[in-house]
Amino acid sequence: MLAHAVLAATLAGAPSLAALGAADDESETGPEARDPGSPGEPEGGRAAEWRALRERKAREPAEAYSPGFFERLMLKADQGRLPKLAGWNVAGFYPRIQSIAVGSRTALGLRFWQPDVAGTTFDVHASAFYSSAGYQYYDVQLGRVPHDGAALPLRATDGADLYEIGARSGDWSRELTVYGSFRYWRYTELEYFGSGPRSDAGDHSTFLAEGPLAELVVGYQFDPKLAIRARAGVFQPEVGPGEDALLPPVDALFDDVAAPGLDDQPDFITAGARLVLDLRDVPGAPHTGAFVSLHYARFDDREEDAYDFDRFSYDARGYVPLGAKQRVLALRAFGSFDRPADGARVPFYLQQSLGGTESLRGFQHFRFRGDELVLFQAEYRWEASPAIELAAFLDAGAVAAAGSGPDLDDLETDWGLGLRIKNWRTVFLRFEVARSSEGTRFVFNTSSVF
Amino acid sequence: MRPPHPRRRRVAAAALLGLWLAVATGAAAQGMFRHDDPLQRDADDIPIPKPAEIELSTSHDVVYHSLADRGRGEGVRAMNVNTLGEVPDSSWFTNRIGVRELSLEELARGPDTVEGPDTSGPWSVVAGKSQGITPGFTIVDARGDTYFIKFDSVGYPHLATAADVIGTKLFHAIGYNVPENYIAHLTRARLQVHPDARLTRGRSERSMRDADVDAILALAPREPDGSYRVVASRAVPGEPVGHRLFYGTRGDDANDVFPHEHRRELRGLRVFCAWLNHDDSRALNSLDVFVPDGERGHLRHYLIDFSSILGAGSDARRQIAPQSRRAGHEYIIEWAPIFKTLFSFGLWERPWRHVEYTEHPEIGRLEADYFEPQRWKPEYPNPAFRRMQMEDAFWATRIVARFDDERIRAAVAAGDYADPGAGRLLAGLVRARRDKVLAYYLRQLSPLDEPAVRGEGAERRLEFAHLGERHGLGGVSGYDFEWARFDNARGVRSPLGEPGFSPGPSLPVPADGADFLVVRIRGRSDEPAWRLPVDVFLRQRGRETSVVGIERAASDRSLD
Repeated sequence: MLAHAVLAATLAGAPSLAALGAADDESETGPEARDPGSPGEPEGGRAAEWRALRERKAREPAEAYSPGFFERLMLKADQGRLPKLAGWNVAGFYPRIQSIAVGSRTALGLRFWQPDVAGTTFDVHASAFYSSAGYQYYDVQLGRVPHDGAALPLRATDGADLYEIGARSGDWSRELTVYGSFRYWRYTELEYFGSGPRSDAGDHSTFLAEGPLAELVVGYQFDPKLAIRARAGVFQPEVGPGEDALLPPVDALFDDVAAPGLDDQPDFITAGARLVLDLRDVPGAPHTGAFVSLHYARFDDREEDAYDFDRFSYDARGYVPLGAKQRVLALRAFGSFDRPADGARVPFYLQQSLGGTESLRGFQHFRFRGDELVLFQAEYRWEASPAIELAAFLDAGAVAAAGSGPDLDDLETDWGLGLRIKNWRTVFLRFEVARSSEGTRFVFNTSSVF
Repeated sequence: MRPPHPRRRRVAAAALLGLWLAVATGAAAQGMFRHDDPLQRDADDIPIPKPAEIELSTSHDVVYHSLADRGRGEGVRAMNVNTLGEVPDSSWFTNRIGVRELSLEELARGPDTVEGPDTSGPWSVVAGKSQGITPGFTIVDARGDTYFIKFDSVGYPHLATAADVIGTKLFHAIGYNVPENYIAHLTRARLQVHPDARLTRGRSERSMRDADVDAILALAPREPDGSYRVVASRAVPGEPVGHRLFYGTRGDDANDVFPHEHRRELRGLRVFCAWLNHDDSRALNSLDVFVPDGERGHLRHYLIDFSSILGAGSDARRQIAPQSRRAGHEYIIEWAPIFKTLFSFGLWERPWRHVEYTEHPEIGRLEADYFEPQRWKPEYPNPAFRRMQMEDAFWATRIVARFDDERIRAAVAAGDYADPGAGRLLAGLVRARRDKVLAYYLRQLSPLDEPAVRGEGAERRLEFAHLGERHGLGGVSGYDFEWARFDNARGVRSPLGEPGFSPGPSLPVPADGADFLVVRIRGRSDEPAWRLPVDVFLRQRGRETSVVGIERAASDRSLD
């Protein structure tokens, strides 16, 4: 208020060409004309006038700066004083909001993470989550866990091997990792449409899968770009009818022939290894470079050898700037091949799948399952700013029974457009609309597709 | 400040109207010039209680200013100026090179009052920060002075420390309050962790150990002799009370009566920042300090942290590195280029992406060919910069013009580059950018300056300089002028004699007993703006005649 009074005073008191120009012909206009009788030398100085303004303000109640709600919130975020609900991987015990599995919807949980206990290289991690879809997830990790500073990779899942190397930053120096991991999950609404390329979207059923997995994981980082990880453990899966009230349970549409392992789920000894070569410039938001992962896993049925199988997979990704780094052609080829032992079958709940936010985005989650599959993805990405990226994409993939090899005639395709909110290091939000032969789907995700 | 509620806005508008009428009437009664004009000092140091601290969020500041203009008042002329268009000395600004010859020694010394941290004894580490953009620590030297120690980034030795010190010298010479920043060399042996030292790590704080110092030093580059080159920033006297904003006023500082977006030294800061590529000139890089005097005191306003100016900036990891290509060309969030890129499927490219730089590890990324001072932008919109008018820009430009090649070299030498070629390269770029600042802004109005009455009686002459001619931007073949008596109380002028012409910047002052005279001067030049009128006001008190006011017409007062 007072400031504007000063403003008015300045406008009225300071000379200006407008005022002077108006007075050129001695015409008397403006506020100056109201006091024709004033003497040539005015009383009172400018310093006194400015001082009077200050004295007047001093008499008014002092009003300290008061940040608004969002400013207070963002200040706390800047200072790391916000509860760690999502996205942050920091030491301590705190609540967290995140997704725990495809279809889990939002999960609320608690996490404890203490790296370098008592100055050693021994780390402790534990978490527990319950989602709005009724999914549950619990885990504990003890040992030399791969982490980036105080941050922990997503979770000690098999797929996390892919990301552990990508999560490193300049101070990542833990070459050897050795840790024990115990996980238990209960996913209540996993989807099953049948196995093989001829599955019908109308056969949409759900099943429940749960079980503990205890593993020992050993990893070695040869180089900032090259790492290997091996793991072995015991897995005790249980499968049952899905709990989605709107969809039929899996056993209402399929029998044990169409859904191998439906009637009986043995315990497994698992073992595997993954080699990761990461040549991307920025793993979480690459503009150039390449990424290759080779993976082998063994699932050994401890009871009747009816479900013994080996899995071989590869994941190759390339990023080619098109004249400038703001335009990138991103390509991915993924293949997974399960080899069941003689007379054995691959359980339907362990089969690889296509469909959903990470693969065939125009199809429902787990839309296509099979013993073998291939996936090809191509994206033209362009950055409107460092924080906003758009993409036009094309996905194609096929599944097949073991040994038959995916048939290109069975390729399912989709295409679409995407918008990503990101920073230099990672994608925070991914919105996509994808069109396929089975309709249009909208994708909302909190990570990069590849 | 938070925008007021709409109802409060209406009440405020009504009150504003009432105040405007009251003050305008009062001002008219006082006349256009007061007896103490032109004011040389703004005594904004009346004793006040200590204001509350203002803490700002980096991310909020970016978003808050990117989404809307937070200043108030469009087309408003700067308010804290005297009748010559100058900024009086105040707690914000002290006229230095703009009003007097600043020797090379003075410029090189800058704000320094000592020779840097006392190296005759150990430095006691009293606090540390192990994470964030600038890991570092606070020390107390053998004299008992407190310094904040900042490092260069690995891979870019001297980049940040040189920029910080050069910026300190230049902004101090310009007139701003800046801390004493010294380049110093430290060894691990000199550092001793104080028993009460605390280490801040993210949200947590704990006792500091020797190993913490080692960890911080491990992130810093070492000199060939094994020492660490640092900037030691001496704690400014007084009690810090946070940042000052580029809009509004502090409600709890009675001295703060001019909205910051209407302060000339904050508007004109845009020109200096463009010249020196200080795109990090955000509110967070300011510091208000309460200078106590008994139980009360007053604020002193500082610019701090020049480590991201010239060719230095912060990279995507927010570490000091060569300046981003975007710096100075585009805001962090700027919708037009975003949409152009978006709807062209990425085929439209920002032109600045293709600018070629002569990069140097000690200098970073700076250039002067593509640089256009009027288009230069800080990281995000600044309400004071946005309101800069041509007369604000002229005020700043005439100060920039005072930095001759020698003074630029002296300032750059303070960066103490290892490679002499680095200093030469930077000085050349700073000179070239200065010339571009002059070439643009001195062509937007008639750059008559330094008016002074010389001689006595009938021999009196009004002499002045033409900054455009002085800096080789063009020629003026002479000046048309018209004298008038000026009725100060009424703001009315009466022609005095016939219009005249002078081939040079020296006009005869008519013998007349009026208290005030005014002369309108128009240059004869091919430069259109140099033909715009300039009015110079003289006050006659007895035998003394002095310049009391100056008004310049500009082709376009506002830049945005």
